[in-house]
Amino acid sequence: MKGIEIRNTSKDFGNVHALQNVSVHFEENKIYGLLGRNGAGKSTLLNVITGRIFANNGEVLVDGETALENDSITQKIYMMSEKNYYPENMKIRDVFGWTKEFYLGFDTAYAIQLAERFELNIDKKVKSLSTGYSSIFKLITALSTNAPYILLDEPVLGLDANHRDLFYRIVIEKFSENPCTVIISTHLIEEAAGVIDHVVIIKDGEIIKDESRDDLMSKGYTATGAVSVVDSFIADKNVLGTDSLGGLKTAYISGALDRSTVPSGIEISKMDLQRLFIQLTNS
Amino acid sequence: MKLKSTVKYQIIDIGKPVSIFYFVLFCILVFGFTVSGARFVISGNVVSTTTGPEISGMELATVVFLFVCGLNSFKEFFRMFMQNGISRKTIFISRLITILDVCTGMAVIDKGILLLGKLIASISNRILYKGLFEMIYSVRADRISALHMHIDGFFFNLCLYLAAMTIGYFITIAFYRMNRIAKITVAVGVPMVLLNGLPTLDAVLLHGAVMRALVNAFTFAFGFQNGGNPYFGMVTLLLIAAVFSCLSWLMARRAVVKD
Repeated sequence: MKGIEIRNTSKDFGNVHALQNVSVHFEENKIYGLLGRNGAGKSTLLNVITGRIFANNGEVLVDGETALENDSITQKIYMMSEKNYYPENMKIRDVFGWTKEFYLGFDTAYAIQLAERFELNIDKKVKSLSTGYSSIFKLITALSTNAPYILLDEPVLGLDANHRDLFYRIVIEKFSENPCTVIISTHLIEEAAGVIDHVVIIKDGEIIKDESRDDLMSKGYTATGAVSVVDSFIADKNVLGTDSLGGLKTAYISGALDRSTVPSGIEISKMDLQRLFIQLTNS
Repeated sequence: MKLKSTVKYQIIDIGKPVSIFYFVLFCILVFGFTVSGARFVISGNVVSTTTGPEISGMELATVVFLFVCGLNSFKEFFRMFMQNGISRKTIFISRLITILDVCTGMAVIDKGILLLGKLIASISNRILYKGLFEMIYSVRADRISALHMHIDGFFFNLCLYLAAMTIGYFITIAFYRMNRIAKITVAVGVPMVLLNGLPTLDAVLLHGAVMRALVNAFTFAFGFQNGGNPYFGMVTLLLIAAVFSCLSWLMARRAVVKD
């Protein structure tokens, strides 16, 4: 089976259950949003996929083969981490050079072109970069590897709005020219929502949603109106959560909407991903 | 196969420190030879002025250098290679190949330096220049031909370098795997036990039996009995390198990337 398949994987750190019997399949040539609150298990899941840490149990298959300690498989995956794992004294130019040694598909010309677009000086050393530029050099490296599976852990950490916008545009450009699987683990859901095809939401180490973005969005809506009207409207519905402000109440509802049942005084709108995420992950 | 690239990365990385090391060594030797007329004597870590000027055992510096290189050869490489999708097995095998390459290369260079030093010493006719092997197995070195001595010396040095670097490598991985409390315990406890606890216990309760046993074991392991047999020493050093390599693998195979 093509893609990354995680089967019944658990990981504990002492008494903390970082992953609990997680099973999820990241298919080929899709952009995934791996969403979760701080400490939900996103980075742990990505680290288990790449074999940087060991799961307590379960297995990770990539294109049907066991990924752990398998050089031919790990060659297919590149993970950009929040932390820097390159030598501090290495120049960005040399990072590109060495990445080319390890990822044969690495496109140096493309990396240099991206560096110019982000105004990154590739003669600088890794240790001299700011948080934002540290993310940028890792992003550029990741996107230039041409690996079939690119894992981005907090890719826009420290990036200003312009660079974030540029990053999302480059991901879309890259994907349309050379489709691959991109897994974006991020907190900035609203921004990433325009890029991702498929949403995986993780909460307390468990996958609570694994659906295409469109399906997920179509399965819910928000109803806003006076408190009493909204309360009576949602009485028989699957309510994910509510917000109240003054005399107004907004309810986040999961399920199909029957417009004929909507009373006057209630405004229906589409649920946005960030709202849905907040409602799903609020404990 | 990523093995070749992984070895290449490590060889290039160690190239600079090796160059600096030999530059410093070269300066020391030039200095030693230059001031030898003033009866400046360097004898490994022993200074002597009883005979003519003597320069010997310079390979000990290589042993220390390689041990330190071993100590600095895990964390940064491990993170870099894990970032680039290299398996632990490949990292470990590539490290062993790198150790073998570096030790062989430095044993060759050291032999070249030794031969050059001996040539200069013979021209000056005043300076005595001796290698580490001649110092350790002096009785045997006097008995065998120069060619035989140099061949034995080369392989002895190689085995010694391998042992030094693999021990350093093991220590650094072991420390990497330990938590902070274990690191402190080992860093303080092991020297205390070996340098204070064991000798005191041995002297007070066992009347030196442990020390005698250690000396006997050392004498046997390095073939110092009957005029000295360096092949015992070589086998012992190779066994040490093999044991520490195996222990390193046991540590490295479950190592995880730490922030």
